[in-house]
Amino acid sequence: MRRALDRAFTFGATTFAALAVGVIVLIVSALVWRGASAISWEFFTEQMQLVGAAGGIFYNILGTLILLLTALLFSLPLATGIALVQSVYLRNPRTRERLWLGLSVLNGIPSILFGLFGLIVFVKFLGWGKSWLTGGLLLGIMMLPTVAVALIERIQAMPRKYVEAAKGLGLREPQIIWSVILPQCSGGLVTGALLGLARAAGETAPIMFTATIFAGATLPQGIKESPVLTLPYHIFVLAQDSFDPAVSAKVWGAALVLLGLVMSLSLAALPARLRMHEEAHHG
Amino acid sequence: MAEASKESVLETRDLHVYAGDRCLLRNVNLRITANRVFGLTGSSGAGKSTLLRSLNRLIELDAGLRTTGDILLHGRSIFTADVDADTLRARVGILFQQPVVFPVTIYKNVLFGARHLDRTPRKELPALAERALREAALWDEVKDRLQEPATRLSIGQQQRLCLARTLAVDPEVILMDEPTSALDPKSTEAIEQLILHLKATRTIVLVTHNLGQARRVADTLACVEVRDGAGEIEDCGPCAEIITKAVPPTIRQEFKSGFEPAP
Repeated sequence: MRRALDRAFTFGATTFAALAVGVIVLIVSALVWRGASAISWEFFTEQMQLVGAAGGIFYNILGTLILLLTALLFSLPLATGIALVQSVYLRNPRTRERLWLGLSVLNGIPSILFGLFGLIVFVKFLGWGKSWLTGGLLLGIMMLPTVAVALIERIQAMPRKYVEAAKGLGLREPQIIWSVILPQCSGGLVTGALLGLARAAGETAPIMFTATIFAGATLPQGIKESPVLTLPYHIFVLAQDSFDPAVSAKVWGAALVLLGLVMSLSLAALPARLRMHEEAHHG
Repeated sequence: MAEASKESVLETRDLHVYAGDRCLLRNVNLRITANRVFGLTGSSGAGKSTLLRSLNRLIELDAGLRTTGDILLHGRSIFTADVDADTLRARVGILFQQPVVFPVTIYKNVLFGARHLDRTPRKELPALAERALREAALWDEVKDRLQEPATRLSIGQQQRLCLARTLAVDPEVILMDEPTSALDPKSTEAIEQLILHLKATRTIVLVTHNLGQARRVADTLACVEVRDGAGEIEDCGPCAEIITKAVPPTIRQEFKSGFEPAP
């Protein structure tokens, strides 16, 4: 009886694992199958023509990269500040718990609400219209918990002896942060940033009313009324509205490029994540 | 007595340390005189390290610990508002049980504290590093590999590197928390030689488990023992006297035959 139960359990677990892997393989192979024909040098370097039926996705890639870079530049200092407050400056455990709870809540907010928030505050109230900056800021806020939590976990895993030794030499708190904590924990920052970016890259909801349009934008010239083209919105609009078979191949191609971008960001974070686990278990 | 006439560098007055409501150290009154090695010994968990760390306010890193009583450095309390804990720790340095080297080069490790204190002009730093490494008897072993990661050194070398790092900050007192308990006999001997050499210019407080070591290097010895749940100074005086008193006769016999008699 127990052996049968064992076997059933193993069988069940294996099936579910295979199912999960199967879904990923299915998605990737479908994308490659249908999108590979669209991929060419011109696809990356030309701008969209004929409402997506011809040309490439140069400005869509560029726009997505602009948003990601803005999000990164915005979230890195903020997340670092939050992580330091949480793990260095806050002495009261209850206050620390509250900040941690705040980060969890922020992480759980549905992305469409970020879009609405951006629409109300930046687009309407500040009168920016659709702007790359709004999109970058919103994605930056969305990334914030991921980056901050990765750094906090890293700081907490750091052996206390380093801080003690630096204190024993007479270093001040800011000096310890700069020369002991941040250099030793920068891996957490990199990991968190890459994971956050990987998630932000594919987000459509926060940017669709605030930062991106489907056609007619190139490089942003200023802040007000300067939207960008983006990959996720491009896919969203074409997949929804177009029945043109020429468009279809291009959409699959764009989706493949987006997947490639997200995957390479996640993969880039992998070595640092694995190392962190090793340190946590053996260090 | 000769001890009493010398100037006291550090003095504790009715020092108590509490963790919450629990008393860890009770009523510690010690006088630590200049250019001497002050030994602290006693059972594990009696509070030797806590006492040592309270001398440069390092125990304040533990949010749960609280101190009452007073500690005087050259007759002035280290707890008054005008005393900055970081500045105090640069004057009263510490060497830990396990060497703590930072994951940077040997050179950067030596100057880790000194560089941040802004006392030494930038171009004099290399000379300072050499001086500190020489003082810690490590220069000859590392002078050709200053840019290598410090973690590549042996544990004994790492401990001397930590000592050099403390010396580069030029503290007048060095607290040592069982600095040789993680080391092999040869490195232990090197550190003990250094302690004897350093007391010409500094005051040293040494926590040690090893009575042989106390006998070899300490001038004064204090025993911390637990009584009614808290550590107290059981005995304090010239090293040889305390050892004779503290050790039961039978063990004393073995002890005498096992070690060189004190000079």
